[in-house]
Amino acid sequence: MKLTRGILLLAIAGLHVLAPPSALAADEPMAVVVAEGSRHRVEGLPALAEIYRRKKQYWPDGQHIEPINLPADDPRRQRFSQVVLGMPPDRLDAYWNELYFHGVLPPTVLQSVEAVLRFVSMTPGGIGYVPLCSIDNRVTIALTIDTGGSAAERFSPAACKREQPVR
Amino acid sequence: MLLAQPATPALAQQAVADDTGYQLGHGWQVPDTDLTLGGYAASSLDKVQGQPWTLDVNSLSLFLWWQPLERLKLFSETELENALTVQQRRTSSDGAYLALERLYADWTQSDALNLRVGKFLTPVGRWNLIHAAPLVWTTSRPLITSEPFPTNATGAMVYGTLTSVGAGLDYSLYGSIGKELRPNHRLDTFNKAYGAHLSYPVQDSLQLGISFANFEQINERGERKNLVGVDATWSRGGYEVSTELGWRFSSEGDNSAEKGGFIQGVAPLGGKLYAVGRYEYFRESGSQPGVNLWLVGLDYRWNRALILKSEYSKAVDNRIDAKEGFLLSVAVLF
Repeated sequence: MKLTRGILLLAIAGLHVLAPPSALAADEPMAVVVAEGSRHRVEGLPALAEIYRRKKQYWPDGQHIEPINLPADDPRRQRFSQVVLGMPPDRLDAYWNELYFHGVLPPTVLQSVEAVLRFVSMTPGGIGYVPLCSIDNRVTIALTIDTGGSAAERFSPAACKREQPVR
Repeated sequence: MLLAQPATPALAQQAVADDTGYQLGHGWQVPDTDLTLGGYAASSLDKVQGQPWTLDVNSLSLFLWWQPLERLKLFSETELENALTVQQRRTSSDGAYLALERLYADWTQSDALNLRVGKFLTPVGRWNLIHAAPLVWTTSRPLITSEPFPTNATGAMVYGTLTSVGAGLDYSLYGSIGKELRPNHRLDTFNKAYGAHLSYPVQDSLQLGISFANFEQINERGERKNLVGVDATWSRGGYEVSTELGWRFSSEGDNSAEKGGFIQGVAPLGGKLYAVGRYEYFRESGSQPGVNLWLVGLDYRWNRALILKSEYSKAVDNRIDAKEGFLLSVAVLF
């Protein structure tokens, strides 16, 4: 059984071939997403930072939180890290080394937005971030981060059209 | 049917590792298990005052953690110390010692409440909790971070992060009744001890901590000691300033008291090169006056997992034979 799940996740991890990161992606508004139907929500950027620093590892209902990151060189990861954690990913190396020394690993990295959406939609407790306009009915928005870096819990579909950069 | 299967963190890690290849400093998830292997190694070349050049394989440390249940984690760190020493064309492994650094079980009730039972690092200050060679900027260790207290404890600890307190207050409360698991014969271990450590991120760039411990050691039974300490770390843009101060009081009076501290600065010089400077003071029990140690160093941080360090230290009033001289080392986290 574990092997089939492993194959599935390998397939997810390989989806980046289909969706390479865009240079414009860093300017897009972002959605922090959980699985469709999940009641898990995030109360603002400080709470999101605690999740992505692995300081907060459990949802209020006791479910383990499974945060997902995009690759460190992805412009969306760079921006997310700067806005939420206050620094770029490479400046967190010392922090993750310290946690690793105590047996705590950083969030799992998946290579594409589609991989994040699939993982989050299939994983109870999963949470990830994707461009706002890439979400679909597999996930629910837990928080949005606009182009200015401000967070909001509500999402207006119009925001996607309004804020989507010209390609 | 397949898509309905929930993923597990272990398998997610495996998927990533398989996709990107093994990376130094990230450990290795044993396929199809909840077992992770990791560790670090360090080797040094030094010329300390009064001794010939010495090449040492200082440490080879293996981490192993297993998470059989979502809330239960078993962790161990076994370290082969001084595996090999080369001095004046003589190679020796006489000083080799297999140390059990950590062996514990963690039960997580919530983010705020975790129970640890076993042998763990004594939560005093910051350096002792992150002392692995690839994680620190200097080969030598400030005396205040190891001399006034046993660096390991066997017992129980309650710890967690109080996320309701500002940006998250980390706390740990612990107790020991001695009976150290595989006690290191080079250390004077706890006979009885209890203590606490608090750490709080004032800002993204500033972390403050305070420590307290009350203890008795195996070789000094009957002497009760109280240790208080403060620590702070500021870092931004590659710069870092850190300090630890400690005072240890004894039921045997002022002659058995110890105190000291250090302040260390790190500055990026461009690329992967960093300058390091440190001043420390330490007054050992029964020693007057205390030793003053100055250190300058140059480090090359190749990547997150690999660091090359060079340093020169000079002491004043060195009546306790604190190491001074040149040290070169390489350390890797794997």
